[in-house]
Amino acid sequence: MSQINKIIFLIILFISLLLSVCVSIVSGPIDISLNQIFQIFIKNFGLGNYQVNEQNLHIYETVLLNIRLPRAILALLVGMSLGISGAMLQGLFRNPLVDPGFIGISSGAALGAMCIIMFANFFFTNLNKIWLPYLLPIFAMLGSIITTLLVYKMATSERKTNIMTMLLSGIAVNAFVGSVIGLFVIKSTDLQLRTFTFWTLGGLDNANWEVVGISSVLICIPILLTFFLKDKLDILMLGDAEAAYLGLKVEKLKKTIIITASFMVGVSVSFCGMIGFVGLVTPHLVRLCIGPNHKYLLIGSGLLGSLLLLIADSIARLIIAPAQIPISIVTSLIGAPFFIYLILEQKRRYKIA
Amino acid sequence: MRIIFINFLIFIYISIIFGKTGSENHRIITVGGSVTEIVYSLGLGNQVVAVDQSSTIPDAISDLPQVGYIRHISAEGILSLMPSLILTTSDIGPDNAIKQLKESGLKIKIFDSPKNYQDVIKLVTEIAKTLNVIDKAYEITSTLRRDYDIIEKISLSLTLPPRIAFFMDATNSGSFNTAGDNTRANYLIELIGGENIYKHIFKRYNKISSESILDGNPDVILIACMYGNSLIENEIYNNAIYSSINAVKKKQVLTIDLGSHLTFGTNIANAAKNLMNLIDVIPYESDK
Repeated sequence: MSQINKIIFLIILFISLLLSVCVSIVSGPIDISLNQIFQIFIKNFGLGNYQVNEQNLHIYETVLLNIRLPRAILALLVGMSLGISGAMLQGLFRNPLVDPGFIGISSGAALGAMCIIMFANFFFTNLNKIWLPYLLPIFAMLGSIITTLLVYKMATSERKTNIMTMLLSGIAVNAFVGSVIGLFVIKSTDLQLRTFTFWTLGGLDNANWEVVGISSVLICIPILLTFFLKDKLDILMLGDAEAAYLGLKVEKLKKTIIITASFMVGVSVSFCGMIGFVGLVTPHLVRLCIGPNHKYLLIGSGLLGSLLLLIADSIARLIIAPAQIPISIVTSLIGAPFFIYLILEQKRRYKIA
Repeated sequence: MRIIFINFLIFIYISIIFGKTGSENHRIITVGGSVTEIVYSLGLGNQVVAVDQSSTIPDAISDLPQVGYIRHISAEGILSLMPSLILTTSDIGPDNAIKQLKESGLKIKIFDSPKNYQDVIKLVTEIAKTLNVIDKAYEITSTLRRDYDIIEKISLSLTLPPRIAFFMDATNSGSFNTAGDNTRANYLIELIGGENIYKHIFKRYNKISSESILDGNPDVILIACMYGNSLIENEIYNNAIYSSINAVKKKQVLTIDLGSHLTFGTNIANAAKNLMNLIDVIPYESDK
């Protein structure tokens, strides 16, 4: 595919992303007409002074500005971080089956979250109530960092990281952490269990402006960092030894990739719970369309990740309204069959060729 | 004649409109089984527009829209039903959704989740105060108090408390979740003067092996089922390993409806009476 086509592909992705942001702001269980939406935006961003005396406008304003808008932005950020970190890790492992969950990020976060769900009232009885909503994200974050470092250390000997060992130790650590969580589950109350179950299925319910502010800083910095890595990732695809002969500091690069990717996913998971399949499927789809050049792959994965998550969230909010379903159910329910279709299609195409 | 008829129609029309505005002060969403049950008992079921998944009784709610599980409600979903009041218990979540609902100016009343008979009476009074139906609440609470005295009298008169095990229905799963201390089931067993054989073993619900059921040898096994009949009774009676248990010998493996027994609302008195009737060792006569 020529360079221009790749750029066109990215532009199309970007435009559909903008469109889906608009759709997710306009759609919801409450019917708010386009006219009212314009009025609310004009009023709140100081673009004019409409005198609106509709009874429900105050509710609409809250829904639009404090529920839908932060939620859409959080979906953008989280989708982007999942997509990009997926692409980076697949590049690092030279394995298209890798998902951020493989190196213990998600399971560690789950363990951290479970600890807080179980013991928050026990350990932090004297704690100021204001801190309680932040404890879960902080502990989930800590959990994901600790398990990822653990996996990394296990795979590193004599200052060299063996990628194969890392994958294997990741699987082992996941299994171990999973059974520790199982131990907690036995001792948990009904409510704690349900809270945990919902957390593992993910959701953007936590979206408010504070969360958006915090996560935009914590996610955008590592994303900017990754764009300095794009050429190095391409070289790394040749293999560790070859990359080293070409003058690349391979071990340092691996460390940087693992830290940035796990940090991004850690932040996303800590605010939104576990969101399955986006990190795995997004880089794949982009690679199918525009090839494995990381310069385009990273941007494309970021955009497509956001797009998928926005669409999934709109479905999650609307399909059984007034209730909602956890987002991970949507991403996997739609993502998995689509992914299988793509693989079969690809297989068929290569057979003919 | 025609004029009279038209007048009559207008009269009916007006009375319907006024009748409606008279009773329909609120559009209530009740989140939490106890709250829902109590609002219906207070005769205000017609003002309820939606409930949550944990509300299972009375039957009238089955046609209402559901706003999801109490720990996982959607703020916009609730707002889309245009409620004027939300009644719930402290179990409601996630916190962010509650914050968003409050920001929208919606009135939310959060009560403590009832853990015992006295809590239920308190909750009835509190809800009635919010909804301005104190007379009706007085009627209900005095009946509840009278029933409590009857239940207490019988349970105190038992010389040998029946040894009871409480399981959640788990047809075909092979193992049971049993109620330990700090559960509503445990409270109910103690209320009717029974002894929960797992009280000192588990702090909450816990999985239990069939071997420890044999070891515990309960006089009565209560099994809470979600939907009416369950095959679980026969499953236990026909299972040879359980044949030595007292409850099986005395045919005291009893299935009860989960919703009407473990939703602590005004139904708690009937739940207790029903259990006393089911368990033969406690003869219950309502007139005494």
